[in-house]
Amino acid sequence: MNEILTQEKSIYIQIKEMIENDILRDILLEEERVPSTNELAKLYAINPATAAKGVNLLVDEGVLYKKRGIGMFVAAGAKQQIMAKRREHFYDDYVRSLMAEAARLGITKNELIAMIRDN
Amino acid sequence: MNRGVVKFRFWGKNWLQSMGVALGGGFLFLAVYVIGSRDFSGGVGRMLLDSFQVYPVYVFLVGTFVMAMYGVTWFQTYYSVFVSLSATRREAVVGIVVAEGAVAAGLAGFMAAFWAVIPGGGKYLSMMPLVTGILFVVASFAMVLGVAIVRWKKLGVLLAVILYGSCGMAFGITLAMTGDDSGAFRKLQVFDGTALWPVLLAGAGVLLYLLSCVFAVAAMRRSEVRV
Amino acid sequence: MSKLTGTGITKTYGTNDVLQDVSLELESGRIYGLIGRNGAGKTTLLSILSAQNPATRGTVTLDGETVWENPQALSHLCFSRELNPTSGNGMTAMKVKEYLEIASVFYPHWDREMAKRLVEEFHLDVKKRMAKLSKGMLSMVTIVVALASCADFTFLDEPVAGLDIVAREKFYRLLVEEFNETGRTFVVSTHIIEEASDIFEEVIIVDQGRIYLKENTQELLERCVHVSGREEDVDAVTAGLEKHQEERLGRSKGVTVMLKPGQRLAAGYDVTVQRLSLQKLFAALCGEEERHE
Repeated sequence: MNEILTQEKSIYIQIKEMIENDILRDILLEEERVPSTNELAKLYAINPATAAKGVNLLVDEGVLYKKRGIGMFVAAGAKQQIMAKRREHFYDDYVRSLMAEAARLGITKNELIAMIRDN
Repeated sequence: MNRGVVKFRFWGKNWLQSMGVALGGGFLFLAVYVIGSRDFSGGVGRMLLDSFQVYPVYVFLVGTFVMAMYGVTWFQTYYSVFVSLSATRREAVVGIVVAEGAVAAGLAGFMAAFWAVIPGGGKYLSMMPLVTGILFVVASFAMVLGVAIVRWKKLGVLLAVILYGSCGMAFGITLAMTGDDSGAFRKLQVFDGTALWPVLLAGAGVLLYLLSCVFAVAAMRRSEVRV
Repeated sequence: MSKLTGTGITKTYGTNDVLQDVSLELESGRIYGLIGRNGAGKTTLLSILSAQNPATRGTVTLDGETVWENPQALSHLCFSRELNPTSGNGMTAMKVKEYLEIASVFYPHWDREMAKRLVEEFHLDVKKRMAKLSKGMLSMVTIVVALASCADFTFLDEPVAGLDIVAREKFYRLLVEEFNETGRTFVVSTHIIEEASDIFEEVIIVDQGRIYLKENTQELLERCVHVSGREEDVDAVTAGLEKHQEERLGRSKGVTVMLKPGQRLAAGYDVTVQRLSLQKLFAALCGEEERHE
């Protein structure tokens, strides 16, 4: 929460990731209430529908669940779920571009491995 | 209806302002006249009472100017603001013309009431139909000109200058022909209720005013508003 | 759900077609952004949609009822224009207090409490004459009227002109708050696109008197990319796609691409692909190079 929105990604994805980050950092604990879409909209000065889109993605993934009349809550096991998903996407999100850039610079795979091993 | 009440309050304020200027300005003119008058033959009290009797006449004079000025500026000031704040054009125009008519009626009402009440004022009452007619004619002129200026801008101003100018000329000529002010008034006092033409004039004045209202609504129907 | 529909709106001033056959539908419960270059027709469109000026051709209806001279329909509409009282239109001598008083007469749902609160928050001196207000303060008056009108469809034309960044941020928050609470539809026309783009659920681009596009903001931004790199690579990647604002410098080339559903960039080339901000996208779509005269 309270991160600054960038233009790099869709707003609703940033909202989703911010909530995920907070769950990973134990800022939001399991079974705790997540800020409502209206609260998010007000905090970030964004359209509530956009905030809702991000939140709904998390609901669809089972990271959050809705308690009717009360709000959104962090599901049990959400933290593990997020970590597992991010591990799955780690290659695409980080490694692929790393390797492309390395290739551009003529850094070999062995040199890459050495860099990782020695740091 | 709530909207009606708020509108009434708004226009009520403007009406009071117009009436206030007419009554106050009339009083000022009267004071000047009284100070300027040198007829102390019957004593100060007598003179004051005599002078005071013509107070409504001064109210009338200032009032016609007030109606003309305010009527026109009401269009300039308020019309586009009303429409830009989600009033219909009809509402905007009707508000202005009704307020103007109310001023005319208010002035006529005041004059009649004043003369009915004040001792010795009864002889002036026969002037009322004529006066009422003139008041409403002035109101109609003000409305037409207000609309003309807002709708047709420069052409409207030209029209205003021509119309006002010719009216002023006509008034001046009439005055010259009928002699001095007091003489004209005394002549008018001769007309009692049996004379028909002042009543016709009153009726014509009101009719002209109503026509000007219709004209105003029609003329502004598709006007452009730029705030 | 309410709908404000404009059909075939054309507006001609003299020989100039300011709007040409514009049709669009605005729904309740949305915040729309209206962007376009100066003279594109934004203000004219808003004034016609709110029945403040007549269209040369075409109709505007609110839930099927024509809005023109219709007090019932007008009670749901508010067009808070950019005020300019120095242009001799009569507002000059009026005090802010009177202006707000008139607003309260014609907006049946006018919220006096809110107006009072906003005036205090913006530190507006209501006893001041309109002509004496700075550009920023005039904008604040516009904002007060727009918000306190409590109209179902509220249009704001350049509401932040002259406001410093702090005041602008305050405005965006106030707008979102009011929207949160009431679900009123707002259409905000602005040149300060980037700041405001986050609050727009849909964006409407007006260009040369026509609607260029009307689309969900997030979806629009997701289908637009900026591709740059070696000219040949860029051309290969973007072959057959809708391109805008091609720029060349030496051997490199940059181009804005708008992907249609199902399209994607060709893979396997070393090019930089970046998202665009709404502002940059607008400039790419409606910039000088895009004029086909």
